[in-house]
Amino acid sequence: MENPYEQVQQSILARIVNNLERLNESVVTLNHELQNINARNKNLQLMGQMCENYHKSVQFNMTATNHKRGPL
Amino acid sequence: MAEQSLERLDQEITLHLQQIDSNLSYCFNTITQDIIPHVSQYGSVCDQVMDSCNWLKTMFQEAGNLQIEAVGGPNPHNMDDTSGHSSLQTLFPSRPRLGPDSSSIVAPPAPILAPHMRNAPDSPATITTTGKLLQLPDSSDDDTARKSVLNKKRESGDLEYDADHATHTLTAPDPDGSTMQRQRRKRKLSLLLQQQYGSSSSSVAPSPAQLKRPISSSIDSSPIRKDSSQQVESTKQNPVEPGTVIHFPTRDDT
Repeated sequence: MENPYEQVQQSILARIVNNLERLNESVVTLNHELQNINARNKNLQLMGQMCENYHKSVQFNMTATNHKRGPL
Repeated sequence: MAEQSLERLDQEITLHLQQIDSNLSYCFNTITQDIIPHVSQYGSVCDQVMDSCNWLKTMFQEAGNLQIEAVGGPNPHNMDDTSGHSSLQTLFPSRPRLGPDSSSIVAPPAPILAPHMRNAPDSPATITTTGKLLQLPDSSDDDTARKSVLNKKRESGDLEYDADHATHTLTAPDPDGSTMQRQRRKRKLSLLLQQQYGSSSSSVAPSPAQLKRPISSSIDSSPIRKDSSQQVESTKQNPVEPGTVIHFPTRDDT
């Protein structure tokens, strides 16, 4: 006599495999999106570095030429 | 005793498998419905930020040129600006839109700038800054090259730039759409599979006619159907909570 649980478990395992495939696909798409966003944000980061350097240079210049004043 | 323990073990195994299944479907639902839309929204927001920060780039370039014309001015400022432009230099190759153009046009403007730079050290007190000035022309060449690139782009290739940008922004959502379509196809496929599976399970489940249904033991075939259909719905549309267990029909007493 066959074990009746076996078929049920097999079907559940098939479902699990199916779910895993879908999950893997969605995670792959998510990774793709995140990679795109990272590539774009590198540019933003460089821009921020530029602004920071500019700020530093301006501060240094102002202090060197005694034009620096406190905030209004 | 051994049979009872075996049966109990089988029940526990099925229970755990169902839990695993429901958790997986819950993960899938949260990722597809909650995370991915927000992430794509965040990406579009980052694109907008990048676009609105684009003027900073031109501002830095023009600022660099102004300082090169006024070389006799503050030196440390220039030094810091060169560092800023070095970051610019690192910025530009990383940018896919401007990389090839700037590299192709960098060569010609250099000789044009050379007399400029010879004029620049005419200011008297630049002996100590000659080293710095020697550093400057590199950045200045690049700057003017970039500026020429920018001007060219402004004059003629602005459309191309916009087109490039448009394609860049257009190509970004394209894969999303394709992935969405893929996901839809996958969903359809999985729906079909699940329908088939549901029918198969409903055909499979009663095959052991001695199935035990501890909860609903009223009718033989319809509750199983119900169970399978609920299960399909729960994995398809309703986000299943992580702990929920989908009840499969188990051994009956008959």
